[in-house]
Amino acid sequence: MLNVVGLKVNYGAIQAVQGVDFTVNDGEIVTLIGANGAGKSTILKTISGLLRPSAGTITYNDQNLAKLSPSKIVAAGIAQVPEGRHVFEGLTVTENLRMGAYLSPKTRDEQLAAVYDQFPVLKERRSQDAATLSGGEQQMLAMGRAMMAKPKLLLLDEPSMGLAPIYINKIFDIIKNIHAQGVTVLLIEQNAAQALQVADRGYVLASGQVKMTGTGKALLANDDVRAAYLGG
Amino acid sequence: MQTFFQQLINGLSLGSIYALLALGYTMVYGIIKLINFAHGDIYMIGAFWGYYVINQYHVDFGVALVSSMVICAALGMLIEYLAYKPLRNSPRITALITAIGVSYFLENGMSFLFGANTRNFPQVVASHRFTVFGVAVTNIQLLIVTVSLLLMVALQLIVQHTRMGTAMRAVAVDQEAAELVGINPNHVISFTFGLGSALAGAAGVLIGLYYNSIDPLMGMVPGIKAFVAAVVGGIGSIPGAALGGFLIGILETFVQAIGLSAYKDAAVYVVLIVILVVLPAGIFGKNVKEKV
Repeated sequence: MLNVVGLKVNYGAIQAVQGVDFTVNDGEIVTLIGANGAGKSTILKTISGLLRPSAGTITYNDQNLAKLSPSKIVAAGIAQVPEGRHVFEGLTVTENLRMGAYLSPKTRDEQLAAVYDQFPVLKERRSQDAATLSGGEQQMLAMGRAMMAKPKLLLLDEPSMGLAPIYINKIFDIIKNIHAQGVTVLLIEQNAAQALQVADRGYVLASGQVKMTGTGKALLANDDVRAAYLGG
Repeated sequence: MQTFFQQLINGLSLGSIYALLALGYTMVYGIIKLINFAHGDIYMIGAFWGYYVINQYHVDFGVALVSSMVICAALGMLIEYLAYKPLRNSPRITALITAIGVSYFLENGMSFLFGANTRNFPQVVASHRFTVFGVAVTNIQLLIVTVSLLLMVALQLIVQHTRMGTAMRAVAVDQEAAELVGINPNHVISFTFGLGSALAGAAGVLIGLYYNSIDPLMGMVPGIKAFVAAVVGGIGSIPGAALGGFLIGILETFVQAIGLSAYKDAAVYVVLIVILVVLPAGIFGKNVKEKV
């Protein structure tokens, strides 16, 4: 479904991603794990078209994403939940969700009902300014907003970051739920243990390169991964 | 007391012109953080367009107003496309200086093409004066205030209740997140310039009718006063710009009424200085910490 080959991305003068290869197959949950600064967020931003690769290709169902604008990439079926949630403050919860369906106004209302079914707490708060939501609620709003576009591939950038433990489990349940609806998921997480538990496959990144790859279970059991990312 | 109400009426009329202009400043600033110093000159073009179609084609007020809004919207979008869009990723000061350049270009271009002399704006609506409780009101004043309020209500409906208006607000708070939901910021920015310029075009026709005279430099001072109005209301805030416009208009007429006509412009700038010192975010503005 998504095939990344030899991807290099510069962030100003820094080469944040130094030749990365990975694939996401239809129906999988794939996770990229690694420390801060390993280049994970840069990869997601490049897939979404916010950054341009300096070398390499990103192919999504035979389309070369490197040439498409962010809005074309959304239209092609890829939605991203950005790091730090980035809900639209000053807009109500409903307005935030409607913006998620910006490119598909015809199916907007039925999709809104579906998202409210999945996130009843958002329905309760539908007329509230998104800025007044708690961190966990904002994360759900950001995920609901991405689901409004009916994506085939969902990119999640650090969805559990900065959340209370009770919400972290909830967010991972939501990821499994979204996956069960037939959405392919590419997940970036610092919380490597939980990410590898839900993921079919994982890639370990360090300083802009893939260091290791395997199934979620295999990486969880790997001594090097345990030592470096799972606290022994 | 009569004088007070008389000046209040005069101030509201002038203030609605400033409010219409201030809305354009504040919307553009809200979305690309640019003070569009050419905005006052769009208003001048709007007045000239009204002058032209009324004299040439003998159209009525409504046609002059609406066509001026359409022409100015198109001009605003064209200026954005030619002058500001190529500078989207340049430092803000570059775009600001370009805006000043565009302003000079429009002022001197119009002087060059049509002459710098002052012209009489055709009085397409016959002026009637009537007296209510000793306060003199003209039908032109009522027309200016009514049209302005209707346009502000229409703007509010567009910004709050349409897909494009919501996208405008989304881009204003978080452009990157807006791109991630599929909004093309270029379309939204262009739309914003069109909307603001249409209001400036309407203001140009209304002021022509009110003051009777137009010239290529007529946009300079009102443009700056409307900018002050937008800052007073809180730059980026739409209700703030409307309120700021009325406040500045009322202030100006009251300063004139107490015999300080020579200082009416100075009074507006004093307000700007005071606001920047005491309440830099303006009346409805949010305190935003700049990231460095």
